[in-house]
Formats: sequence, C-alpha cells, structure tokens
Amino acid sequence: MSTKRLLPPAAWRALRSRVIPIVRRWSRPAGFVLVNLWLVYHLAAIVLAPWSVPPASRLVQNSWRAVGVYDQALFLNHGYHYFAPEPGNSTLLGYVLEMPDGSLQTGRIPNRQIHPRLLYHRHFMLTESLASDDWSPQVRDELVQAMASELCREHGARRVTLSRVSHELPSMEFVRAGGTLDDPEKYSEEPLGRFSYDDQTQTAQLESPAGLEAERDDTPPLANARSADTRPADTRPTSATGLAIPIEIVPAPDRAK
Amino acid sequence: MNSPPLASRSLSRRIPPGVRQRARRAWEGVWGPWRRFWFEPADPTPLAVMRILFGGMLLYTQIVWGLNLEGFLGPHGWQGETLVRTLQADQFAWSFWWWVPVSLHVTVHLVCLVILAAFMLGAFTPVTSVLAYLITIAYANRAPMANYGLDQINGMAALYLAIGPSGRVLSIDRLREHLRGARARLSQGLEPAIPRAQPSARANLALRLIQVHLCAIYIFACLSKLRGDSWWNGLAIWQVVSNLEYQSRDLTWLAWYPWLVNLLTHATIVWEVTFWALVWRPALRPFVLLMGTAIHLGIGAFMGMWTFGLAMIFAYVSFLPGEPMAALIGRATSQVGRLLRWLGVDMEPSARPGLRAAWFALGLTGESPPPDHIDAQPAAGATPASLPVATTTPLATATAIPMREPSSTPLDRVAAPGPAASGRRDLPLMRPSILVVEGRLKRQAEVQEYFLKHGFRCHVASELHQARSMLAVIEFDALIVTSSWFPEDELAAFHDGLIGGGRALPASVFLLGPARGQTFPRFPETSRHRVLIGSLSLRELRHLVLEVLGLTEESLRPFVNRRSHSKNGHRSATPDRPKLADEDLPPKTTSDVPSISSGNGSSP
Repeated sequence: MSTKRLLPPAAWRALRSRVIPIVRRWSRPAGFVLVNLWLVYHLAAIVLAPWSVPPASRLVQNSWRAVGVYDQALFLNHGYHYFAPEPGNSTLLGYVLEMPDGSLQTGRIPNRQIHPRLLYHRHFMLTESLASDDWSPQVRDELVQAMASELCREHGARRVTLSRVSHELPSMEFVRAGGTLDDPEKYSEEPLGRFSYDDQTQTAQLESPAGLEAERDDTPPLANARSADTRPADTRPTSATGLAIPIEIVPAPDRAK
Repeated sequence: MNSPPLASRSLSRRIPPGVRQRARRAWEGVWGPWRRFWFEPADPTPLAVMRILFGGMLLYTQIVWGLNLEGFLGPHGWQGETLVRTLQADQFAWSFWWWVPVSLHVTVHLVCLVILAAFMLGAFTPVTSVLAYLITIAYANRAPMANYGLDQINGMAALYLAIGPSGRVLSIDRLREHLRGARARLSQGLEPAIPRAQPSARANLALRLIQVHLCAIYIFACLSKLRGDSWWNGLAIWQVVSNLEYQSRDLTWLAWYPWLVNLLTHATIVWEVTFWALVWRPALRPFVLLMGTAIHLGIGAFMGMWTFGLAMIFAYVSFLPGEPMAALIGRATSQVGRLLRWLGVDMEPSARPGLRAAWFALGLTGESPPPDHIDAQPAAGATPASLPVATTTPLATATAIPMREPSSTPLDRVAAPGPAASGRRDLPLMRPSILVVEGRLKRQAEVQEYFLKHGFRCHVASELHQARSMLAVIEFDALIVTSSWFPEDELAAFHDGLIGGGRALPASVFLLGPARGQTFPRFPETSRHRVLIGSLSLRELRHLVLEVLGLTEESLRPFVNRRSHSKNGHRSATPDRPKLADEDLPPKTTSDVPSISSGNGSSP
C-alpha cells in the first residue's frame, strides 16, 4: 500500500509540498557531510589501531577507546607488526600420542607434511601463540588444552603429552662453521603436560604437568638440551586445574600482530 | 529559492568582506584538495581488477579453512569455544560461526564459498561484496590465533571492495547489463554500442582508502621494526631467512655475504619508511611499487608466504591508473575477438541474436567507445546501407584525449556554425563550462572563483592526465591551461590532441610562460585554440575565452550573480537556463536526435 493511501489527503499534500522538498534539498548535502565525518573517523581508527599497541602513550591509548569498538567490529584492530620488533625464535608443539592399542606416536606441529602452505602457516601461527605475550596465562592454558583435544580427536588417541619446542635462530658464524638450521643443539623443549581424552565430551583434561618421560625418570624431557637459555622459569597455577605448569617468560616476537 | 537563512545572512553581513574572502579562500585551500582527493570521480577498473584478485584470494583462504573445518571452527578444535570466548571476552569481535550448529558447518561453509565465488566473478556484487566482507571477518574472528598478515589484508580489501562499486566493470553484473542493451539494440536493427563505465566518486573513495590504509600499514610496520636491534644492526634479514619454519628455499649462503644481508635489511627499512611519502609522487611511484613487488615476491618465494605476498601486491593495483588499465583490457578483449575471427569464429549478422548480443557484450567486436557514446550506426546487414548516420565519433588521437559528441554540449547546439544556429551564437542555453588546468592550488582557487563569478561553470584539474579523465566524462566548452610547469612534450601532445579532435573537443587557451622562449612552433593556433606567451590578467583571460567560444560578455549576463552552480562536474537537476520564449529556442538539428528511431531506413 502506498504512502499516499495511508495518509489523509491534507497530510499527504503537506508532506508533498513541504517535507519532501526539504528532505530532497538537504538529503544530499547532509549525506555528503556525514560521509566526510565518517571518513575522518575511519582514518583516525586505522591509524590509532596500530599506534595504540604497547608501548603507547596514555593519550593514544585513551584516544583508541573512541575508535576501539569500531576497529574491533570491522576487523581493523591490528598492529601490523610484521617481523617486529625483530624476527625471533620459532615455537613449535611437540606431542606424544598414546593410542588405544598402547602404541606411541610422536610428532611436531607445524611440519612440512601439512599442505597447502597456507594451512601450514595456520598451524604455525597456532603454535607461535604458545610463546606470545599477548595472552593471559588462563588463555594459554586453555589453548594448550584445546590443542590436546584436537590432537587426540584427529588421531583417535587416548592420551597426549605436549611440549613447547623453541627453535633458536642460528647465527651466521654458526652456519659458516658448518652448522645447519635443523641442528638439534638449537632446539629446546619444555613440557606442557599430559592430557587424557574423553570421547564423550570431546575434551582433553590435564592429567599431569610432566610428560611420559618425566614419569619414568623424574626429569623434564630435554631439560639438559636447554643449554643456551639461562632465563628463570615462572611457575604459575593454572586456572583450570590448579596444577602448576612451568611457563617460561620469553620475550616473544610480535609476529603478525 | 537559494537564499541563505536569515541568521546566516545577518552574520555574514557583520564579517568584513576582506576577512570573509580570506576565510573562504582558506576554506577552499583545505576543502578543495580534500574533496578532489577523496571524491573526484575515478575509473572503477582498478577496483574491479582488485575484486577479481582478492575475490580469488578470499575464496582460496576460506577453502583452506575448510580443509580442517572442525579443527579450526569446531567447538572442540584447535581453538575451542571456551578458549576463543575467553580471548574475546572484552572485544567486539563477532562471527556468525557461533550460531551455526556443528551439523550445518559444512553446508554453511559451502554456501560461503559460493558467495565468494559469485563475488569474484562479479555476480550480484552490491550484495555479495558485503557478504564477502562479513564472511572474511567471521572466519578470522572464529580462529583468531591462527590468523596472520594475510587475514588482515584480506579484511581490509574486502571492506573497501564492499564500499566501492567493484562490480561496475569486468563482472557478470555488467555483462548482463550489456547483454540486455545489446539485445535491445539488435532488436531495433542497430549495432550495439557497449559504453565504457562511468567514473565514480565511490570508486575513488574506495581506492583512496586502500591507498591510505596501505600507507598506514607500512609506516607502522616500519616503526615497530625500528624498536628491534636487528633492524638497526642489519641482521634482521638473516634472522628471517635462517628461520627454518618459515624458510621454503635455502638461503644460508647469505651467511658468507654479511654485507648483502645488511644491505637488504637497510633497504627494507628505507623502503618501508618512505613508502607513504614517495608513492604519491607520480615519477617515483613505479619504482616504489616495483620495489614492494620484489619484496613481497621474495616473501612468497623464500618464506613460503605466497598468499600474504600476493595479497600485498594485489593491493598495489589501487595505485595504478584506471583509464590505461581499462584501455588495455579493452584492447586485450578486442584482440581475443580478432583471434576468434581469425580462427573462423565470427558472429555474422545472420547468427542467432542471443549469440550476437553476447559477442558484443563481451566486447569482442573492438575497443569500447568512450562513456556516454551513443552509436546510432545501424547494424550491418540489418538495415540498408543508405541509412543516414546521425553522428560519428572521430578516431582518438595519439594523445588519447577522450572525445565527446560534437553537438552534445548545450553551448554547441547554439554556437555550432550552421543555419539553425546562426544568429544565436551569443545566447547560450546554459552556463559555458570550462576546465582550468593549473598545478598551483592557490591559483586554481583564484581562477575558479573568478570564472564562477562571471557566469561560467568552472572545473579545475591539477595535471594533464587528470584533465584527460575529466574530458572523458564532463562536457566542457573550453579548456584553459594556465600552468607552465608541465613538460613541453606532454603539453604539445595534449595541444595537438585537442586540435586534432575538432569540434568533438573543447576550445582551448594555452598560457605559456615566457621562460619557455619566444617562439612556439609546436603550438599552432586556430580560431578555437589560442596560445599566448607571458601572463594575462584574469579579465583578459576571460575575454579570450569568450572570444574562442564566440560569445560576448553580454550573453553571460543572465548567469552572473546566480548562486547555484556546480563546481564538481555534476550538472544540477534544474539546469541554469535564461528564460527563453519557445520561439527563441533553436530548432532541433539531426544531431539532437539521440538515435535513429526505427530500422526501416527512414530518417526521422
């Protein structure tokens, strides 16, 4: 039904003679003004998003609050810190799967068997998150637990033991002296815990903060291999289980922030 | 009535005229460049090319998510529901995947892929472009820990491609439109003319946003790098290439060439920190973009991040000029048409109308005519060869100045020589429209203000290529080149193009600086194209323009002091016309008839 029929004739005449011309006259300029205002706001938003990444001044952080919701809703809230502040060590996830028949399967994520390359990078970004300073301990614990669940689900395993593997970058001198990029000396491993998988809930629960090897000889796996790393480890309680997981404080590279 | 409200009138009276004028000039100095930068109509071809490239990238990205859909998007996958909800607890990051039941994951994923494919091909683009953006965000926000630079660039591009008319060319939407038009023309016995897409302010806005966003990305990428020691001591590139997890090709041989590592590191920083400044300089832009392309190809080739590297290169398309790109694509399609004809595939007039229409709609017949081109030429074979042709457009000159119908401007209807128009040369129906090509912003504002005040429509262009673009879409009666900064070769080519275009192109006045010398053999003069050396006052310039237009000062009196005028190339809905009695209007000439009315061989 048209507007003309809905309105009384007098109101329709008034609308047509007075309101519509005013709307027509002002709608274009008003729209243009609004577009310009949005443009200024949008430009502020795309600049303040990376600018407010710490360390940032109080002024910038407060200014970001004015655009933060907009940035997050439009997926513009990025730091663009590509290989910054500097390219750092890689972080991988080592795992030992305990299959229902009692056999063990070991592996690392990411690995070159993951194809295509974009999928490899997706997995790599996940494991890089293990070393990221961006997440709270609670988030990191949940990430580890989710990784355990997914690994057990994918492989049909009963249990999984996870460890965080840091791959230190070799120096030029090291390579010139005959060292290779995959030299075992450059890897260090830190246990993240052993998880048991529940098929019903499709979730993995932390059984023990130490790995299978730790149960056997009471020493953390590859503990002796961490020769170059003298930084102290911080032990924080996990929110999920209350058990202590050693979490190393490592200044993480802000890759792809 | 266009009179300002009473309050503003009384306020403006209180401000001294000098202050008012200075304030207006200052405002124009800020507003003019801003408006031109963001809203000057631009060719939508780069946006369409980006739609195809990024559409393909978005499609591929989501296909790859789908290779482990449950792993990445499922409630118990790599990033379980609890984890992501904790992570995004205080954020406004949204995703429709939260509301999709697991049993429907595959179905929804396939629907998303279909939408992205439609977006890439340009089907229902106004809708699919927005959906593509929402899909991109939804996937990325559901799996935030698996995101990296590619997702950021994808999101940025999808947003701006949804804002701009990315489906206006090179799309199924456009093809459908052409097909309809071609069928209608063929049914009337006329040869279809496929018009080029009109430049659009929205296209310019989207392209500019991509450009500016790209500059912001690079400047912050660089500033964040400068916090790290390795980007200063020159070892950063080594740290990148020696990362086994990133590496896709062995570059350890660089360990024997530390100087090269240092050089590459410093070059990366210098390029990134200067990108935002140098990319705006036309002379430097190719080098800046080539360097960026090399860096991103290197990222793809040596670090395996082809998707990210290509996405960055795709974004560079926003910096490429639209018109040459459109011309290149037009030439390529016409070459395909020639090849098909050479292979014996041709649409004879006897072929099925649907196939013929498709042949024309695909642009296989030849190069597209300029925008607004109305080709009244009858289809070969459909009508007798003796059918009168209304107008023909001369071939474009070497300078590629776009031409318009000679009789399409309101002024020409009167000013064009001929019995119908004679005697009315001094009575234009509309304000004469002029284009001033001037590089200096302050001078632009002065000239524009002066001509507007004296009854002209006045548009400005800062560069000759910008003037060419405007000539393609806006009807001008005269063109004034007042800046002597342009290279002489370019200026001479532009001038030759104008003269070569005949009455299809506007009259012109070239003011050449005295520094160029006393003789200008390369700038021949005609009655419509004047060349002057030295400087002129604005009044003298105006008289010269009136002279080349064949008008008198008196003839513009009805337009002087009228308030409503257009500065940005858009004719107002109610054209500024002096009150003319019906008998004063010139009789219609054959060129006023837009097309031949029927295919029976009789002229109207």
